Formats: sequence, structure tokens, C-alpha cells
Amino acid sequence: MDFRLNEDQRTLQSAARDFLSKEVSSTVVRSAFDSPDGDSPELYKKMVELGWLGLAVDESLGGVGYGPVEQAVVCEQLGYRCAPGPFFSTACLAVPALVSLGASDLVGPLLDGSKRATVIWDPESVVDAQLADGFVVVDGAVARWLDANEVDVTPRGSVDGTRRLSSVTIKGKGRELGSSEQLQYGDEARAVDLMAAYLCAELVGIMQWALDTTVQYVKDREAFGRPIGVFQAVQHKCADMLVHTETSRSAAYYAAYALAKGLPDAAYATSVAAAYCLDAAHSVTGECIQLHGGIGFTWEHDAHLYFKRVTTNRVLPGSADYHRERALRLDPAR
Amino acid sequence: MDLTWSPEEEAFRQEVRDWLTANVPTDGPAGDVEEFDDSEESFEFRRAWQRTLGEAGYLAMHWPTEYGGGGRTLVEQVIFNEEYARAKAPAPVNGLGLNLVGPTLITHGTDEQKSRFLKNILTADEIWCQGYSEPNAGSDLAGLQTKAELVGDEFVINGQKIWTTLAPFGDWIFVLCRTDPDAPKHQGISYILCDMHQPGVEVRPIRQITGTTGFGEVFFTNARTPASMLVGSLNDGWRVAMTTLMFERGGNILGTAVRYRSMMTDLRALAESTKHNGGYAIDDPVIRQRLGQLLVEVELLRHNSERAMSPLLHGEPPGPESSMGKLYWSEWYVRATELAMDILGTAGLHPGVWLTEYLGARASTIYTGTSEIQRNILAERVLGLPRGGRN
Ligand SMILES: Cc1cc2nc3c(=O)[nH]c(=O)nc-3n(C[C@H](O)[C@H](O)[C@H](O)COP(=O)(O)OP(=O)(O)OC[C@H]3O[C@@H](n4cnc5c(N)ncnc54)[C@H](O)[C@@H]3O)c2cc1C
Repeated sequence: MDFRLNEDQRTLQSAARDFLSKEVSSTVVRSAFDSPDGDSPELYKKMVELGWLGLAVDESLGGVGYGPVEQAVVCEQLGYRCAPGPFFSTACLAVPALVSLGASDLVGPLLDGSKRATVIWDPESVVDAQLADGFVVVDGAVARWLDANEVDVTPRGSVDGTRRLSSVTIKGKGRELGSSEQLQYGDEARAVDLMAAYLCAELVGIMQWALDTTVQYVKDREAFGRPIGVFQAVQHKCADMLVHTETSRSAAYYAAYALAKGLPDAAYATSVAAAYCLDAAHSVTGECIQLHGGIGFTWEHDAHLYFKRVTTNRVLPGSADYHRERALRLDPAR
Repeated sequence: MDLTWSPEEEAFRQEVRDWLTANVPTDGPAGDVEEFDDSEESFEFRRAWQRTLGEAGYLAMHWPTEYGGGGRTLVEQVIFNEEYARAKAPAPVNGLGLNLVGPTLITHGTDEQKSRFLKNILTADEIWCQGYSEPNAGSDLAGLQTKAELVGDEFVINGQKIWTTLAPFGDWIFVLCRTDPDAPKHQGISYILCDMHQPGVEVRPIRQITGTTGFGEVFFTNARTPASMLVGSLNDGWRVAMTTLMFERGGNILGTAVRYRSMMTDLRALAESTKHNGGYAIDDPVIRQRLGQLLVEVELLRHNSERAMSPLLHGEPPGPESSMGKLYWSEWYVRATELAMDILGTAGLHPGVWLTEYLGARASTIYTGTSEIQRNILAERVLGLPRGGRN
């Protein structure tokens, strides 16, 4: 019994942390936020070179051959920096979708960076469609693959400029990839559970940033002649943020592990994680703003970037309510 | 206990309602009626609206008629504010002048100050800003460091204010300044009026998380203002400032109750019209429970407010319920807008009224005293608990 990351995973974690702390400053996030399409091509290129697009993909398909836990490790670090760009839509949505559908020939171009993709459930709200060259489409019971020339993408203003939702008009029939079952939640774990688990891992990183930033601030910021961290009202909020962050970490990593091992409770674990993390992240990033006072309400402070990412992430894998319901349904002790 | 209004009061309510129905503009810049949108267009729209109100005699209902106000009784003000909120009328542009500095001048100002300023507040020819918070003095307002020194017959002001609402549009600012650096911190503060159009005053807008520049920084570098711009006595500014804060925190609590009651109606309509799981959001038992809780709470905001107002309406001092309002409504506002976002799902992530409200609500638990400070006030001043380790 050992919940700790193993040595390889820890190495990956510190490599990711170092890389991202160098490459993803607040300036990089903000320039993507303010750019016309939310892209961050330089960063993306480097992530491709690191092999991150195929971390959890078999070597036979050109991937690194790690699994979901390793990808979760990287997602957490990406969350910590609020990293922009289509990594999430490509590596966390499209790649697991295509792998599960057995469309091996479509995976390669995503791993080597020659194409970027996303998944369409609802054509009105497609994650980073404006950055995609290819689309996995859930068309009722069938999944299809469409190239960029088979769709029209209309970018829409989005609360998080680094993870946008665009609307897509589907013009072509594309290529049929088989049943869309893997892209819809069911009673057993499917590709869509992996996507939710990656999103939870990203939320853990986001919460960790909000917690670290807030704790540092309440130590430094003085009011009434002492650091505001002296006040127990402030301390208790920070303590709750810690509980939310650490519990989310347990939830997200257990889900990734259960999915990696194909445990019978993997689907259940994913809903447990999503139900908890989606609300916890909202609370933690909201308290981060609150405990910063006036500065927390400014564009200049990074708190809103994280709050907005959470606002977006909260609705992507289905609502927390949905996952609570699903957890009740899948409760293995029932 | 008698919760009825007299026939005269009902008649007044009807008169106000009729006028608002006929006159509230429906073609204004889109968006929220309370939060300030920073565009020139929206500013001028609200300035024009303030003038319309003034011409009709529906501005500054709480000011005595001798200063150009409505001279209305507290009961009439309450009725007016309720109807105003019910009509979703936009806030007049010079709110800080009308609600904060105006009443403060009427209470503490000299005749010269009254005749110099009050009229232009009403006409919105001079827009006012509130210069309280500083980079190192927010919750701990009395820790403020901006200095004013009396040199001849002028104050020379040096220092910085921040989070100053409307600063990019401001003409005049009421500034809390330290005038006696050696006095204990609540003493040695003065309340001074200062012209913002002078070389010694520089404004830098600050962008908010909503994307608009609703507030700014105000820098004072040897800014000058005549000694006659002092309100109240020298070094007695804290007491003057507390009058202003009282107006700010207590002022329009019944109007606030009505405003959120009408947001509740909008929220319910949103749940009834938003498709969700093959039905509508309103059919989802979880959403229904949350809506129900918000409904209950917003009804009780009204009753709390009626109770809080009652002693005042009958010439008695406020009770403990009067300190709860700001905490109660701001926390409600945050939760209501979160529910709106949850109802909307992905549709809520694009620009829209609810998204603006959802982001804007985050300010409401910070400005005019954060929720934590409000709770301290309830614990210490209302309940008499020992002060929690501060000086
Ligand atoms: C939209 C907006 C508009 C504003 N407009 C104006 C304006 O026009 N004029 C003006 O003067 N000011 C204005 N303000 C400033 C506002 O009044 C301050 O931001 C507020 O008082 C908090 O001060 P601060 O920002 O310095 O935060 P801080 O005082 O530094 O507080 C940081 C955190 O510490 C907590 N804290 C501090 N002390 C205690 C304590 N003793 N116990 C428990 N918790 C504590 C706070 O609750 C907060 O969570 C505005 C603010 C906003 C957001």
C-alpha cells in the first residue's frame, strides 16, 4: 500500500514543474488570453517535443507508453500555471477518444504536433475548436472524424480566454469511427472517464496555486498592524482551502490510478473525483479572490485567470450534480 | 406590529410607480443597472437619466428641499427606493455624490461648502469619488497614510488612494487624510474635499476582473485645496467618515431587498426556460432546492430590512438586525449568480448578463467592508465579544 508517486512519476513531476515554471509565466498566459484565438504555439511545440501529447499512449502508436497517472501528474502541473493552448483539447480529449476508438492512424499526427484536435459533443460549445485541425464528433450513437474543411468554426467570446468555447457547424459526413459509446458516460469506465480524470488533475494544480498564493499573501499583507494571517477568520478559510485541495488530490489520483489499472470501481472513482473537485476548485479559487481583498478583483492579479478556468472546467465533464448522482448509482457497496 | 401602509403612502407609491413606468429608459446600454460600465456612452446615458430624475423631482429624495432634494420623509424614501428597484431603473451616475458626500455635507458641511457643491451634485455637473482606501489601508481604514499639511490657507496633499470607483470620470474627491501624524490612529484624520482636475492629482484606471475599468488609483503629489475644503473639524475626520459609511452601508437596504427579489424572479425564469436533461432546469430537484433556498432567503432579506428600518421610521435607534444587511445580501448575491451559471452550463461561459453578474458579485463581498469585517462587527459590536487581536 503506497499512495505516493513512484520514482519515475516523481521525476516526471519535477521535470514538468521546472519546465512549466520556466515556460509559462503569467505573461505567457495573458498573451494567449488576449490573443485573437487563445493559442500559445511556442509552448505547444515544446510540449510536443517532450512527448507530452502521447504520455499515456502505447509505444506501438508512437506514444511514451506511460499511463493515466503520469498524464495526471503533468495535467496537475499545467493547472498550477494555468497553461494556455490546445493541450487539453488535444491530449486530454481527442487522443484518448481516438485511441479508444481504435483509430490509430489519426493518433500519430496529434502526437507529433502536425495536427491538433478536439471533441464535439455539443456543436454550440466546443473546447478550443478554433485551434483544431480535426474533430472527433459524437453524432448520436456514432463517432466520426472530420477534417477542418468539413466544418465551419465560429469563435465566441469566452470567460476564459485561454480555454475557449467555439461553435461549430458540421458540413461534411467525415469518416465513421464506430460506436460513440466510449465518449459517453456509462456504468463501466470509458475514455470519457479518463478525460474527466485529467480535468480533475488540472483542477488540483489550480487549487494548489490558489492555496500557495493565498497563504503567501496572508503572511505578507498587513492590516491592523499585523499580517492578516493572524486573524482566525482568515486562518480558517486557508485551512478549508487546504482540505479541499488535498482531498481533491486524493480523489483525482485515485481516479487516475483506478483507470490505469482498469479497476472495477474506476467509473465510480471518476465520478467521486469530479463531484468533489468541481465544487472544491470553485470554492478555493473564489476564496483566493476574497482573501486578496481589492487586488483580487483586478485584471492585473492572476487570481481571476484561475477562477475563470475553473468556471469553464466546472461544466465541461458534466456538472457536479450529475457526478454525485452517478456516484450514488455506481456505489459498489450498494 | 402593523405592516400596512397608509392611504397617503399608497398614493405616493402609485404616483412613483406611474412615473417610473412612463420614464425609465428601456434603450440604455445593455448590462447591469448597478455595476458601472466604463464606456463614455454608458456614463453619458446615466448622466442624462440623473438629470431626468432631477427635473421630475425624483432625485435625492433624502435631501432637504432647501438644498434641492426631495425633502421626503424616511417612509417616502423607502417607498421610492422600493419602486425604483422594482422598475429596474438605472442608478444615477453621481451616486457617491448623492448618497455619500451630499448627506455628509448637509450634516457636517459649512454654508459655503453646501452652496458650492450640492447643486452640482444634483445636476451631475461634478462627479464625486470616495478617497478612503489606500494600498496599505483597506479593512484597516484608520491605517491610512495620505497626508495633508496646512500651508498658509491651503492643504497640500501627498499620498495615494486606490480602488476609487469612477476615478476615471471623477471631478471631485472626498479624501481622508492624516493631518496629525503623532495622534493615535483614529484621531489625526481629516475629511477634505479636493478638485481632481489639477496637476497634483493623477488618475490611473484599474481594470477589473469583468474587463472594465470601474475604478482606479488616485495619486496626490503636492495637490492643493483651500483650507475651507475641510469638512468638520481638523483631526475629526474619522467621525465624519463614519457618517458617510453609515449612509453607504445602511442607506438603501429595502431597495436592495427589492432589487434582489427581482433578480430572484429572473433566476426562476431562467430555470424555467433553460433546457436541462430533457426537461427544464426548474424540474431538476437539486436546482429546485437551491432556488427554493434562495427564494426563502431573499424574502427574509426583505423582512430583516423592514425590521431594521422600523425603529428608524419611528425615530428610534437601529437594532442589531441593521448591521446584518451588507453581509447577508452580498453573500446571497454570490450564491444566486453561481446558481445562474450552473443552470446555464456551457451557455453561461459566453458574454452575457449572468456572467457579468457572476463575476461582479465577487466584488460585493469585498467593497464597503469585506464579509470578514462585517462578521467582526457583528461579533464584537453587536454581540460584545472581545476584540480579536487587533489594535
Ligand atoms: C469594486 C470595488 C470598488 C471599490 N470602491 C471604492 C471606493 O470608491 N473608494 C474607496 O475608498 N474604496 C473602494 N473600494 C475598496 C474596498 O473598500 C476595499 O477593497 C476593502 O475595504 C478591503 O480592503 P483591502 O482591499 O485593502 O483588503 P485587505 O484589508 O487587505 O483584506 C484582505 C483580506 O483580509 C481580510 N481581513 C482583513 N482584516 C481582517 C480582520 N481583522 N479579520 C478577518 N479578516 C480580515 C479581508 O476580509 C480580506 O479577505 C472598492 C473595492 C472594490 C472591490
